Amino acid sequence: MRKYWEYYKIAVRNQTAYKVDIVVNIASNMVFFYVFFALWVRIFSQNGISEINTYSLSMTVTYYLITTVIFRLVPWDAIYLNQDVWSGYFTNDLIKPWNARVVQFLATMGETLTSFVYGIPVLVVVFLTVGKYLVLPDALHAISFVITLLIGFFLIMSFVLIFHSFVFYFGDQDPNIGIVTYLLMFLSGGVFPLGFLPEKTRVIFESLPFKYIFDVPTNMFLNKFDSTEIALIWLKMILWTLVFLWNLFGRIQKRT
Amino acid sequence: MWVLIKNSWIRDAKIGGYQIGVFAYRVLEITVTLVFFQIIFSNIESLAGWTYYEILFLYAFSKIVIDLGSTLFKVGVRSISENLVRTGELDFFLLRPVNTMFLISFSKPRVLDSINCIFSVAIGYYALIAGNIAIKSENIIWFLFLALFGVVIYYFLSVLVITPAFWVVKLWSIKYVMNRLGQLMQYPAGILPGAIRMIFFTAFPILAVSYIPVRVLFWGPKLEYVVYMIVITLILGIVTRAIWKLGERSYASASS
Repeated sequence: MRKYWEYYKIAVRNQTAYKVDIVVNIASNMVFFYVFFALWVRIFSQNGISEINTYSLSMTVTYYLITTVIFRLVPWDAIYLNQDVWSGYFTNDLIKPWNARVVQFLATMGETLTSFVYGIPVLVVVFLTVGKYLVLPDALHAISFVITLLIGFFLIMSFVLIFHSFVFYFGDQDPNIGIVTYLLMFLSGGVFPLGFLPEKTRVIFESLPFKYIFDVPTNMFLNKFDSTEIALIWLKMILWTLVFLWNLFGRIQKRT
Repeated sequence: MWVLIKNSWIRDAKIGGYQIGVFAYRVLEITVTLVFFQIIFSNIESLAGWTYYEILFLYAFSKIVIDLGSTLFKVGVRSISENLVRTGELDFFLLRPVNTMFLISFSKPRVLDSINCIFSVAIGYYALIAGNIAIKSENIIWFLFLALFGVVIYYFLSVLVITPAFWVVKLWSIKYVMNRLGQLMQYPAGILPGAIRMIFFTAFPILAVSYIPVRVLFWGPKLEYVVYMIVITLILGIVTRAIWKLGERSYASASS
């Protein structure tokens, strides 16, 4: 266990070595939120709109803020299985006295959690500058939001790893992974709330499991679900995660 | 320059799958953006005085500028923050009897990225036709003239953003700053509050890159726009060059 703990600490330390890089990263990520904030404030105020498909201006701004936070928690940028296998570095993990899958997971978790911590100053700045536009959850939804994020982390990681595991069969998957993650961002409500879509399109998007990455946790934060719906959401998320993990481990087990 | 372009073609054409991935990514990005614009304009008639098709053209033009940048200088400029300064490879460029800033910037063109322009040009053409946007030939000439300045401003801003790499050991996040700020080029300047708009027209004139040329195309040239574009390009060029020179003076080679 100690070796895994040390590995995790190194993964975290690796992310914190260059302070200026961290600050620039934080600042550039704030731009994403403020551009959409300006856009939606203009849309709502210029045209006298009070809500778009049940989303008020406050809910829309909060939606973009929460997706900015979730972007720091989704592990798709912190998974290096494809690069490690393609470069041969993965062999080092196989011959060392530890489980290669565990260290891959620890590296991803370390980088993701560190990335989230760097997002806290963004939250503070946003709260201080546009706090009056934000919607805050009640206690039930706040706790449910955190649990949903945790389950969502494993769901998205298990799904993206499937594409990374294709490297064992087809070689470098970097361009494909880029396309898949961008598509996921769109299908999951990372660009705009799925609730903004027309009815027929929304039904298709909401039947896919990707809404659990951005749209569902964010709507959880916006107090949009009752306790029964929350329990059902968690059950579905766990089932989907198991389906992805079963597919993934079957694939990796054969190749390693 | 011809040799650089030829080498770029040979290098990039080897990996056919990579370029197909880039095209697929661009098609996906355009699709997502079109859906997003459709959602916005299903609720409003105009945004900051611009109609759907006018904004679509603005988006297309901003993408053309970004694609030209990607073709000509993006990789070269990024290499400054990624490895040239940190590893000391900048020495080899400093030794040459050519302007270092331009030499490095244009040392790694990506010729195949220019093909992405096809999609943006198609979107722009569609926007003009479908929107029944009547344009005078005089406006087209002024648009092309100011578009040239727009591309030059984009180049100087890209270099300016990367110059802190001379003073900071590792600054990989800085290459994403222009990506983030490039979002501002896709929307009319009117969505931003007055003070912020002023900053992005003066201190960091990213809005000038696409907004002014497209505005001139639709509503005709004004003397103040033309003078502004020439003056801001000159000032930005002088400032960028001065900061670059400062960076070179502070550069201490890491190689033998």
